[in-house]
Amino acid sequence: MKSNAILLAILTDPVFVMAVSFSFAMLFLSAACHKFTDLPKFRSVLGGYDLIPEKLLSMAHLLIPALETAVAMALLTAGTRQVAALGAISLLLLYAFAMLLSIRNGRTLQDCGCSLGAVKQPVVVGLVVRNMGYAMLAVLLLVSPSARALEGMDLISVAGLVLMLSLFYAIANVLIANQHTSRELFHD
Amino acid sequence: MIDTLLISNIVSWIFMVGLSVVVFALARQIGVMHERIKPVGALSLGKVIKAGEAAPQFTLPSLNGGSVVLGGHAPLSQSTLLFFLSPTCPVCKTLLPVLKSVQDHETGWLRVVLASDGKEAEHMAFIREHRLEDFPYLNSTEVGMAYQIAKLPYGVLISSEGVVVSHGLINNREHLESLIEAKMLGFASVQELHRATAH
Repeated sequence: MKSNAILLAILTDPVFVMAVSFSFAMLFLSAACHKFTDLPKFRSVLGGYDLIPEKLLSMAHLLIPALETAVAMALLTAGTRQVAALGAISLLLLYAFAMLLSIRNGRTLQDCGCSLGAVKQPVVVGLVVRNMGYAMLAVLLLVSPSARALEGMDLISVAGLVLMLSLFYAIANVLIANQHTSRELFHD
Repeated sequence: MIDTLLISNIVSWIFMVGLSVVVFALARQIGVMHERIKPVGALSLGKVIKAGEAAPQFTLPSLNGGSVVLGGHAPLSQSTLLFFLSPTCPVCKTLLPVLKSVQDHETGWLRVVLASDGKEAEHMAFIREHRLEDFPYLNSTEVGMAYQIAKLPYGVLISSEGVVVSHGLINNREHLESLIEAKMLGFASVQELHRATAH
């Protein structure tokens, strides 16, 4: 019981909540930037999913990065954090659902349009699982953090956690992409 | 005490971040390596021979005795791997063990024919030195001219019906296997297979 109480204390501590919400804000902001810098490409990737009618495509390809930016901004302030967390969870699950449908329909997309562009990321089941994991992490942001005055030391913890979470995100992406290329290469 | 904890905490963060950067770099390197070792296959050079066309017909004496028929319907419905080499080409020598193993393992459907040109005595010495007595060995400029072989070692795979299936410059075992693999998959070259599967 005691370890559960400690875990709960950590998960609802402002340091943890701040670090997770800042990391998500960075994730959504970079995703939106990546889409805004090459809108025509994102439009064609979105069209490749074949889930949105052609007429709505030109609106959707602007709406999605705009929503991502809004979620990222709202995650940065404590007052709007919980609403933003709901938005983040919906977006993550929406992407997971879209990728799952495209895998089910046997469409092999060369790029899911979700990475930062550095790595070509094909749509695979690993990405669906990854998004579900992120959505679960974002659920933690729905709980109000415990009230505690933050000290200088806490800022180091927040900075370290944000850095680590971003790195883990990058590593997860690379490993999923590697798994796909190795499967292609060795036919297993 | 607080200072000690503070310092140990900061040092821990630095090392954790550093280690994660290393893990990221290693994972990325694996990805880059996957890209690098993608099979490229033998490079087809000749403009005269095209995959899918009938191979020119020859009946020529072998330096190892008997005569060799190239092109047309093969009597034992065996395919032919025509391998162009030269006693003076170092890469050719490194491929001889590979050719022997291909000859041993694929003997049911494939016969390996070596082809070269030049002084007969040099070729006889080459055969003795590398124990190539089991291969039909052609010493003929005509065959090389017919296929316009400019670079060695070069392989041409001819089907049992006398049709050129695939051909290419062979520099290693993988290139040689790519000719056979291209035949198994029904493509003229591994590059063509990549092109077909890329979309």
